[in-house]
Amino acid sequence: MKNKMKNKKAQEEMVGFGFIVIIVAVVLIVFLSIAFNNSDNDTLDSFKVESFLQATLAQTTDCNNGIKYLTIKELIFACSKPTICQDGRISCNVLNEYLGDISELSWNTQSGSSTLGYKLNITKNGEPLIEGFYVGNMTRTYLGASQEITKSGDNFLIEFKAYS
Amino acid sequence: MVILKKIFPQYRQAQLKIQQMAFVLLAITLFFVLAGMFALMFLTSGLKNSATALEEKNALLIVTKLANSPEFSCGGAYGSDRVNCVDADKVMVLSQKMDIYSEFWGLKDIEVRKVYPEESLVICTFSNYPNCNSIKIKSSTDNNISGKYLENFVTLCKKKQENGVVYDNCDIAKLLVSYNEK
Repeated sequence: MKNKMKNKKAQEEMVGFGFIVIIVAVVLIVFLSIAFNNSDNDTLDSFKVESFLQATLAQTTDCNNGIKYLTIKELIFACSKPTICQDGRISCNVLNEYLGDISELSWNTQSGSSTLGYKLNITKNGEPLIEGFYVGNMTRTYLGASQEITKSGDNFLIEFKAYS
Repeated sequence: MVILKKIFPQYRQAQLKIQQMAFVLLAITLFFVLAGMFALMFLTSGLKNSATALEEKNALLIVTKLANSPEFSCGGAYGSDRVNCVDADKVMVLSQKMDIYSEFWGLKDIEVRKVYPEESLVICTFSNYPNCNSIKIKSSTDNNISGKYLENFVTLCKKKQENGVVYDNCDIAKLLVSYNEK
């Protein structure tokens, strides 16, 4: 009688253990299937930010120095002196205007967009050349690119960060 | 068996102990299998992320390759060799010869769209060029590029003339490509 009861208890324990194993296995399978089917649609890439920076620097502006229309890159050098355009505008103001407009049109920070904000900084020998652009939310996740240009001993650094 | 149990009453207890040990061994094995599966899952999820990142980079590289291919690139026409520079005049001509190139890149749609300055969308034709901002090089539909598409920033350059002086004019643009999903 005592042995029979012991046997029954052992059997019950085994059944319980079996159930636990089955439940754990099912949970694991569900977890694995979710983990493998979760596709990441984040299309942002620092490669794109790099291309943006390159294309921005090559943008021709309407600031003529009397010889030619300056590109953004040339406008940065002009701003560091600073010089004025043929029509009387200050090169730094033109640079600010162009950079603000281009960034705004290139990076959509409205709700529903993968980009939540962006930051653009230009420094000359470590000192800010113009007031930086800080738009939207600056999160911890970002993709960035920078371009370093040296001219006449001055070191210019253009940095762009897109936050997602 | 029954005789054995009758002769040795401890035989039944030993059998139970063996059974218990077998289950414990089974539990330990299962535990290690599950732990191994978890470890494997974390490893493979890392690999999957790397693969996704690589795939995205490759996709963007296709756009870059396209921008730097001889049919699109500025070459040396705009001073020093530029990267990601698209010659607007070249692609405009190319858009008219697309029936020859239709299968060359294996892409469904190819379009170059100016980002700056902001204007309402005007599709380029030979009658309105250069007063337009979107060159449809290859187009499967008359509508705007839609569905699964990739884009990258490029410099769209062309020669302009003012008071008899020819100068280079470059604008920031997006090169958009769409492809048939497999």
